[in-house]
Amino acid sequence: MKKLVVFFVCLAGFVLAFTACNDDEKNELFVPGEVVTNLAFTDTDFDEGKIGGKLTWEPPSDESNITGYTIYKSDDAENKGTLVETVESGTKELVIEKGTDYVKYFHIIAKNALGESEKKASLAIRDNTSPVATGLRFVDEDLAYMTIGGTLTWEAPVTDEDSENIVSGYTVYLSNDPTAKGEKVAETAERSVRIETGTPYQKYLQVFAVVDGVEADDFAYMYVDDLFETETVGYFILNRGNSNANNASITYVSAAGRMDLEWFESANNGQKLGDSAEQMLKYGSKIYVAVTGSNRLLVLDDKGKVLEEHNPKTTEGNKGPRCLAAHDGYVYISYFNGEAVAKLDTIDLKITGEVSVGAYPEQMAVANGKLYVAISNYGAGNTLDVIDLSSFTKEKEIEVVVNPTQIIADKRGDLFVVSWGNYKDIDYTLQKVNSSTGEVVILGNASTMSIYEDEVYTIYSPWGQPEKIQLGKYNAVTGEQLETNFIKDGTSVDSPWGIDVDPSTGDIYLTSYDYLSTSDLYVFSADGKLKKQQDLERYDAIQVCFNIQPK
Amino acid sequence: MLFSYYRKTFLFITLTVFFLFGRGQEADTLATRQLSDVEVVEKVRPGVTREATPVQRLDKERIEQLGLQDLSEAVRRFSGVTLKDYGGIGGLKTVAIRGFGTQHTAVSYDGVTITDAQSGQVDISRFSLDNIESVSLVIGQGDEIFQTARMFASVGALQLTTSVPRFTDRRYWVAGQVKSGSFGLANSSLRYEQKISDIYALTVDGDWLRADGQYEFKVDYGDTILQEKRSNSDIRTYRSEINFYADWKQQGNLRAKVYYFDSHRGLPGSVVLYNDYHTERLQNKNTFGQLVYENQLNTRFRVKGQAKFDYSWTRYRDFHSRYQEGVQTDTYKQKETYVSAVGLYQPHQTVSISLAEDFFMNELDATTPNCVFPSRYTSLTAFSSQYKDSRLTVTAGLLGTYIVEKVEVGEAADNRKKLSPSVSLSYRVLRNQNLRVRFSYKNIFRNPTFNDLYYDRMGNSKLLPERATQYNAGLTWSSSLAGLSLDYISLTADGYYNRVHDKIVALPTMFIWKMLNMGEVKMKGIDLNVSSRFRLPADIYLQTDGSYSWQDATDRTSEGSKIYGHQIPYTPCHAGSVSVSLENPWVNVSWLLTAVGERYSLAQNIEDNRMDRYVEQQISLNKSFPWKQCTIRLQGEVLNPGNINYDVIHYYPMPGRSFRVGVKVTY
Repeated sequence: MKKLVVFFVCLAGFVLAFTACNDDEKNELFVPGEVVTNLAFTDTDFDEGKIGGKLTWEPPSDESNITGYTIYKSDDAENKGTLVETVESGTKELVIEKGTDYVKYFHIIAKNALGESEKKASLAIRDNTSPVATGLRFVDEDLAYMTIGGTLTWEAPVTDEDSENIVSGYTVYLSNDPTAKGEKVAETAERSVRIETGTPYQKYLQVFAVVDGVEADDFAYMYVDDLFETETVGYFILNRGNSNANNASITYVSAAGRMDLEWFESANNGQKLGDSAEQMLKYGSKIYVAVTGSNRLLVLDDKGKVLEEHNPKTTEGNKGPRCLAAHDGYVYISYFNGEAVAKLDTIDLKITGEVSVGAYPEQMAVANGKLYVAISNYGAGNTLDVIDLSSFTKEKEIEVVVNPTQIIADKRGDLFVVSWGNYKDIDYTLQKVNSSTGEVVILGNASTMSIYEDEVYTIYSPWGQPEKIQLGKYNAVTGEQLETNFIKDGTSVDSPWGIDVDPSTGDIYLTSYDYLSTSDLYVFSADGKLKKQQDLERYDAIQVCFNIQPK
Repeated sequence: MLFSYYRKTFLFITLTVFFLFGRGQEADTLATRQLSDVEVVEKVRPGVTREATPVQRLDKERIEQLGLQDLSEAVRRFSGVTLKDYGGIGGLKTVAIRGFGTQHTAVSYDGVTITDAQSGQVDISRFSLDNIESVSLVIGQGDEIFQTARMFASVGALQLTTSVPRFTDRRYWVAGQVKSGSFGLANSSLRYEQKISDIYALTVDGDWLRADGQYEFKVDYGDTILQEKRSNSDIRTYRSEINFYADWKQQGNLRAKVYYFDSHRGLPGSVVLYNDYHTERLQNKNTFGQLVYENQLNTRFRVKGQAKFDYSWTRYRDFHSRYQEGVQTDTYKQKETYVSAVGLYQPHQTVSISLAEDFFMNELDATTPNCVFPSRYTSLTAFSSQYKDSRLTVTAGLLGTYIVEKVEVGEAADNRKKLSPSVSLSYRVLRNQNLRVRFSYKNIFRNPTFNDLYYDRMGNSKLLPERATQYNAGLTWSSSLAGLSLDYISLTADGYYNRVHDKIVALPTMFIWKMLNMGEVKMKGIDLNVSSRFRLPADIYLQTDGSYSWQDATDRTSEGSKIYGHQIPYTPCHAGSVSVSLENPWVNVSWLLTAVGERYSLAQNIEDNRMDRYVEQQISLNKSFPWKQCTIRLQGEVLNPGNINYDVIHYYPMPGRSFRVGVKVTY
């Protein structure tokens, strides 16, 4: 009997010791976490120091936790300043009375019964002292190097009822300084003008409105991209390597087809590139490489030798340089862990500044003098942050499909964005964004993309569904899908991974990677016939970067 | 819901106990079970050569002789295993048997399996050897059929047995130990044994350890080789264990255990070139209570009942300005409830039949995104029969598995119903020589872990279990040769052929990683073990042990792929170890050597992925002497005296030369 008692005493002890309760967390209501996007405002009060017009915005797609919006004005990007108006949810615009004193910023904050959101959307305001043309578009058709030619078009200035129809014509100038009037190139009563082929390149086209026969002081300008015929003398393959395996590398393939796997190492005494290289960019004669795992931002000469290295970090962590974009003598780098975009001067190779953006920024593209940054927020983000490059400040946000990671600009200044969705009901999506209006149109499904002339090439590869793989081609102007498989000779590619198109020839460079073994490269002609296939002998060939020169 | 489950378990245990006690009143005769033929030698060596599958064992004496501190150092002496060691005292260490994944290795502590249903693998760095009586590695299904069903359910098992108290004239016994060593190592442990009466006894163990772990290592940047120091590599652990023993002779015996483990450590992470920001921290708390009751009812029947409650809490933290408030915290809680009943029936002295039924429930509660809060109910039934006489042992077993799984969110994995057979044979070829041939076959599987099935976006609830087939054939021989001063010599040679089907791997498509059953592996190999003990004049003994493994474990997933036929990662073709000890009246010396051949860090066997071979050594000295009424033992080790710079897992460097000294006082 005694032993039975002993046994049960022990047992009871154990049972009691381990009956723990689970704490249930109560669900609490929170202030809204969403922000409005695509803020726009054009000042139609042409008095200096005064503004007036319509402030418009896009509400977030889910307004369930929002009862309204509070609009503030201030001279500060950080402080919200004074209250202008409170509006109900669903509202998309607010009329700013003519004669309102000029302020540098409008801020819009979502609110509900518990209070205001901690996040705000801000817009920098320009004081217009005369009607200013909008939506400037120009595509260089003169494919000779350093000369331009083509048709410049623009939209009528935004005016209010008082100033309607006061504009009688426009004059167009070409300048290297965005703020100073340059050389006159044309004048017209229409909203488009022909720039003669062979016009020597200057960076900016400026459009002045003519009011009552007098040229206005204020003008609109756009950065001109000189498009020219190129020849490809070789190409780089950026191998990301495996996570934490320190096996990222750059391979150089010459025009003759000779593959140099140690291109970086041999230019740097055998030095290894590092871990997880994300993107590389050739701009001018220098090459820029973001090696995110090793927290290295490298500037190389065209032979691969390191000219400068940056390891951006604070005591609270590495910033993680991730993706690159270039414009007007500067290279911009997104910091994956640093919620910022840095600006690097390509002459002295120093980082001159940073601008704060959303969390986990990915790829960036430049269009119309602005930098568009895909804000993935580790899968939760759904915006493009728009940075005005002349002031290097954040201008606004544009809402896109959740988890945007890739973005490229076409020559017209429109943007293509690939969002990776939420891995459940929202799939990998290809979108076109009109950079003037901020309008977003969904074109189809894509996991990665590249652009050549007026065609966007895509790979769509949903996990575990090889029968749904698409190697797509879209018309960049209309957005129409032209192909679901641009390979026309029956070649099949398992595990398609990356796609890049040679800007000189239109040849399509498709890499494949199944994680377990090294990547392969397939080169197709523009009409979908296999030209070359090669084992790249390295892991995760994430990008093919072409070494191009003007012809 | 939880509490009602405990009530059901309680009821189940009560019923089991009543059954056992009900039978217990019958027989009064002394427990008789045919003793196996004992090889009579001066120094008793555990009869591993008799086993029908490879069994290797290290007992406490040998562990102390060789100066082994933690379980990973003991595992390195075995053949047929690869230790996956992530470096340092607190680094993760897991055991892979013969090319199988580490989740296929069961680890048992005093007969009850330790689990981690979340990751499926056991980190053996948490086990100290201070209170361990023996460490055994069983590959395949061992001859002991009077075991819980769970011990039939894996490819192999690492079995730890703790010391039982042995009282002589005094009613108590105390031992205290203090160790110190390189990289800030400080370790103290205490053991107290108390005899309460002729029937009852109690032991209490406590162990505390801390280390900085900031050892130096070399990093090759390609253009230079830099000397760096491991940072964020500190560890603090605390362990305590209470065991209560009751020996009611004819009414059986009971053992109750309560165990508590608490550790804080930094995770230094892998070496990333040019980037030394490592701030991850890990806290583990684990406590379990275990109850075993055993009774030899009569000459024919023997029963054993077990129950275990296990609770483990893990907190992972990472610090970076990108996280909200600068820190990312993940907390995991796991609970296991386990009961088992085994009955052994011996109708004849050579025939035994056993039936074991295990039932256990595992639960996971995590703060990671999209945690589905899974619960798994497993029932294992093992039926085995054995014929054993002085020359022949034949064992056949069948394991029935039934698993039901539930989740709070989403879809649970399918229920599993499987039958897994195993057969083994050992035959003593010659009548007067202890030379045996052995053959064994085992078909088993491992269920996908909770991580495999449900972790955030990576989990795949459609996963099938990973299946494993093992064939082993071998020879064993043991003897003593007085003419050569050999107290004891044993040799084992085994050849094996294994296959893995539906191997669970993580594969990405477009940077999205998901778990998949995509893998076929073929393994063949040879394991050799030699153990010898020479008696030399002047009370000197020389003990030499050696092991060698040849492994050919290759991928067979899809013919034509670049990795088909390539050696799987971290599996060296050749590996071996040697340990030599010289026991003498002055200072005992041991020398250990571990040699690991080339291996590949990734699936494709290309030059870039090849890791160099390495040889690592250890020298240990110890001396015991009496002092007043106590015994004092001094011990010192030099680890890696050659200061070899090597990694077991690529970019997880191992320490260079280091020292350890210890003093143990026993009363």
